[in-house]
Amino acid sequence: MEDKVFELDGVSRTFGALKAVDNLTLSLGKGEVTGFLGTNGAGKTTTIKMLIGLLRPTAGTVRLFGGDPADAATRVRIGYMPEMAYYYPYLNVRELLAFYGGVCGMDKQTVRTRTDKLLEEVELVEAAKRPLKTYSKGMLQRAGIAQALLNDPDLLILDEPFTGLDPLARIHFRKLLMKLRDQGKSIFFSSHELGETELLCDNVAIMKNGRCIYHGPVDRLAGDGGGNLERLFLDVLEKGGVA
Amino acid sequence: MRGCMRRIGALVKLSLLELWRRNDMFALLVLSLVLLVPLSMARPFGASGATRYFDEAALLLMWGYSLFISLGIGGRLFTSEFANRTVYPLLAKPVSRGELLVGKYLGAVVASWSALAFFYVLWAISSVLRGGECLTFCFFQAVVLHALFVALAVAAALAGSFLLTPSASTTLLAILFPAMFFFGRRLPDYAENVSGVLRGLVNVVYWLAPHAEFFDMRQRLVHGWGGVEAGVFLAVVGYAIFYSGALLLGARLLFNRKRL
Amino acid sequence: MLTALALCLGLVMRIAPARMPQALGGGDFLSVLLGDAKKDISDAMVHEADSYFHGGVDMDCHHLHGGHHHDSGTCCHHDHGHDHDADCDDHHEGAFDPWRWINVHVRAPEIDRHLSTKQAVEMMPWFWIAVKADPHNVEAWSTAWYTASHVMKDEALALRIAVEGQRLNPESLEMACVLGRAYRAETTRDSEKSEEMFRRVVEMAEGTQDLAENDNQAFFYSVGCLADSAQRRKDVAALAKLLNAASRINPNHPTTRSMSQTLKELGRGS
Repeated sequence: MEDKVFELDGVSRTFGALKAVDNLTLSLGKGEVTGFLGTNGAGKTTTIKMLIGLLRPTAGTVRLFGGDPADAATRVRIGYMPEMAYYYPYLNVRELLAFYGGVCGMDKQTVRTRTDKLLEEVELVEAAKRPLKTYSKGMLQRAGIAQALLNDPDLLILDEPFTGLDPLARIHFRKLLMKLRDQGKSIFFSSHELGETELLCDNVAIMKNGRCIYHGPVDRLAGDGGGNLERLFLDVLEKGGVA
Repeated sequence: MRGCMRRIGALVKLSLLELWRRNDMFALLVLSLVLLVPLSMARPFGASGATRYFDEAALLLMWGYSLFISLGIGGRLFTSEFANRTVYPLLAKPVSRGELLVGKYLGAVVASWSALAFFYVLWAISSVLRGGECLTFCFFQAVVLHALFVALAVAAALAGSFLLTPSASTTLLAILFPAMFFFGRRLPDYAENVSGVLRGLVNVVYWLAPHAEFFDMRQRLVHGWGGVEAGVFLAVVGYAIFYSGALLLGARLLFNRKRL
Repeated sequence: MLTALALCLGLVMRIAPARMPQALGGGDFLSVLLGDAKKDISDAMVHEADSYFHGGVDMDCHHLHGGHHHDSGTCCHHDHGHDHDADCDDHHEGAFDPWRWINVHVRAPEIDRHLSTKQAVEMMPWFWIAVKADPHNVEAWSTAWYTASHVMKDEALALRIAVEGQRLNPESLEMACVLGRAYRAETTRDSEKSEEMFRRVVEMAEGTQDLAENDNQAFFYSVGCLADSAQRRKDVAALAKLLNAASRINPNHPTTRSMSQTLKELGRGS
């Protein structure tokens, strides 16, 4: 029985002289929701890319469902949404999901059933026949979420999922993630939206200059002082850790 | 295996949809009509009955179009994925880089072939309407060799897009292929007339550059020469497969090294 | 990008500096657009028509299987000098070159072929482009006329070509001769116009110092025709005048000698 959905053990990644991620040890338990916080350039996206096998660590090991994320078969159980992707403009959202379903090796009937369900969940039923080039940023984000959920993944990795969403869509998306959390899905997302993170997450990991300076429960961070995550996030960044 | 085929099938379908939903094909079709309809009605010096010049012009246009389409599609295959950031969700799916490369390549080739088939069907119809015979052995050989050239051009554009910027790669190939098509077979003669570094350079180009002219059976088609010998045909097929394979291998290595 | 373009340009200039356009042509749009290239384009089109005559084989790169050799004497009235020049693929010896082997086999027909009378119309579009690109390309006009007249056996078409070619090239001896010949054809015969053209050839030749090869042929052909006509009319004065003109150009030409002989015979007869 796997306890950990992923494990990063002493992982480092350098780009020339730049150390993007430095000796990072981090894990996510089954059914956990973890927010991945940090300033721009802190190493969040690099970490996520290593998690989904797009980048190889220069040191340390990355385990995804006990396997190597560089193996395609290991990625069957994950869903990933990148930060602000411009999906194929000449497709409509149904064709987009059919395409990703094919890439996942799913059969047509399953893809169709999942597509109907997901389009309702992300509220794109009415726009389903419109080409994606006519979509707003928020609608593209929702299409991105739908593609990430298409294969009913056990782990959802989201890179800045709230970017481009209007307040209403944000509330709706938060509800969707909560529903997924209640279904027992593990969710790992990077964000600058501290309010959303606070509402959604069991744990947060905070990155600074490629190092994880805090990884633990949100309530411990917000904790005794009763302050909100935003203030405490700033405190952590300034102090470089939690006392 | 089945999953692999399904993944590759999805990538092929994506390329087909892209080609036929862009306006390129329709622009080319309109351009063809604008050029060829008046040409088909020409009566030079008042003489009627000439058809070969039309076939020659139409086939040359088809070669130009196929190069334009294959370089365009091949060059865009990954650059648009990188620019739009769609390569990330794609590679996060259970698909390997090798499968993605092969799938996208096959997609581009099939899409280019569909365009080629479309134009050859139009040409065949016009040939039949003018009382010609088109479904000959030579015709099939010509179509197959043209299709193999398209596969080679797509592979070159794909590999070039990893090596250079998309516009630089497409421009260079758009110069190289027509240059080889028209002058490739004359390079040894030119090499004999120069010396030093230039001679070496010309020889390198002759031996290494893709010989587009091998695939050109327009003359045989237009003048009804009949097909090429089986051995020669197989040699050209082998050349195309080997060259495309080498380019794809190069693209695979570059893609593996590409920082995402 | 700019470096690549500069390299290409440098290479082109190195390869063919003498072929680069040196000056713009006449004042019309096409001339300005094409400059000196119009003559090259026109010649290339004539060359293309010639290759059409040979079933699409580029005679400058002609190579047949089984050691056949092309009989250039049977094709056109123009001897294009079908020698195997530097462009040929089969003149190289030495190590086996697979690329050349493929090219030779893809581009060469297995049999030597020429267009039939009916098929020769296929050459016309290329001649048409040739004379459109350069209306003063007399070789293009005369070859087009020859093809229509002698290969296609379409004398009406040949006459149309000759009339238009002569109209656009009134200073050309060759075109005047061509038109004269076109008026001598069986179905388009007009002896008066034919002789008028031949006389024009003689007049133009008299005012020219050195005749070019084609003009020289046109002159003696015209003189020969006019001499025949004068002989039939027993017009000794006209014949003497022609002999005088021919002797000035070339006293040893067979036509000159033949006229001299005829004149002597007519003199004895009278």
